[in-house]
Amino acid sequence: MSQADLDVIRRVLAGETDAFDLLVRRYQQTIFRLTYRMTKNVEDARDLAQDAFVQAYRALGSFQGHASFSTWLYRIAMNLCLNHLKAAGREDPAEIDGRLGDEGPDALEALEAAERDRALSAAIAELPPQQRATLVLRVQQGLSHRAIAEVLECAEGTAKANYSHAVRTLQTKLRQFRG
Amino acid sequence: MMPCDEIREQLLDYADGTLATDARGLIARHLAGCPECRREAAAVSAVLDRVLALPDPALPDNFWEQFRATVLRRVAAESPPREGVWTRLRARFGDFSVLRPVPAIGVACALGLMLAIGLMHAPHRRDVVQIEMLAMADSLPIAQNLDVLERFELLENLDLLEDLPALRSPDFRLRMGRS
Repeated sequence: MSQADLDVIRRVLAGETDAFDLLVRRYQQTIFRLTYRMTKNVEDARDLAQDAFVQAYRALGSFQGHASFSTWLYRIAMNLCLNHLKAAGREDPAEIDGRLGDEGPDALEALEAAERDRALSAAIAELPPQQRATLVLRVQQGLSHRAIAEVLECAEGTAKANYSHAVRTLQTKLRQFRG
Repeated sequence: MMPCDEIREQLLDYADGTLATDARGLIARHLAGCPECRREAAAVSAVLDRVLALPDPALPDNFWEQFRATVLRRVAAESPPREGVWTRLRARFGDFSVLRPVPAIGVACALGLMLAIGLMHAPHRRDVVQIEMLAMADSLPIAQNLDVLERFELLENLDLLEDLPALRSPDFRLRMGRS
């Protein structure tokens, strides 16, 4: 694990609790992106990311360093997201907020890109939570299958299978979108 | 040349960059000569690229400042985290993973279970009393002939073979209370 993270954790545990701010600064964007990809809602994503940091602070004394701090933090955030999705039920893809893509020189092209992003976001939102989690962790966070298995507490083979199912489903959906 | 089915099974790993060099070369050679698999490979890559390129949400300027302030305020209301005993031991003596708490708890549970099974199969207190009563029943005839017991000390001191004449003597019979 990162020595810098470990140093900060030791300082916090030694009583210098303000040092926790360094971990928040270091990981806030990564964790927020993760929760946002899972929920597709800014407010929910913000609340879940903040909850993840507070839970991590509470449990910092039990952090044993077998996995990296980031993997441990991902696990906390991902568990919160999965519980949130379970509690909320599957959201209506039509309600997913999707920002329009960056405006290109050609308005029609920008509109097409935006539509495609919206369709893709909707397709991701329709994936079963474990597949969605695997896809987000692999593609957007760049985690290895082994790290994903650690975060989601499943077998590496399961993580790979979930990833493969997710990509195939998206491929089919995009093909339908093109149509 | 590998069959297309086998190649397509590995296209996700190929697009993901997780294949070993040899397997990667094999697939690259196949794709060079197979337009259908090449199209399939392009479709898989397109999904991954698009998921990766999904836009982040538009956030207000002070979003991160407020985010961190909320986390730190909530964290300040918590009791400071303390290093767990196990983590302290690990830091001092190294990672003696054989003695991790989980296996220790498992061993303790197994011992507890063995003790419980032992107690379940041990004789019940009532059974023990019954056994003691049976043993006492053997001693009952002796107890009924109390005069023998009363003179037990005298009998004990006799060597029956050597003192046979003494036993037959009228004096001994008199001492035993028999005529």
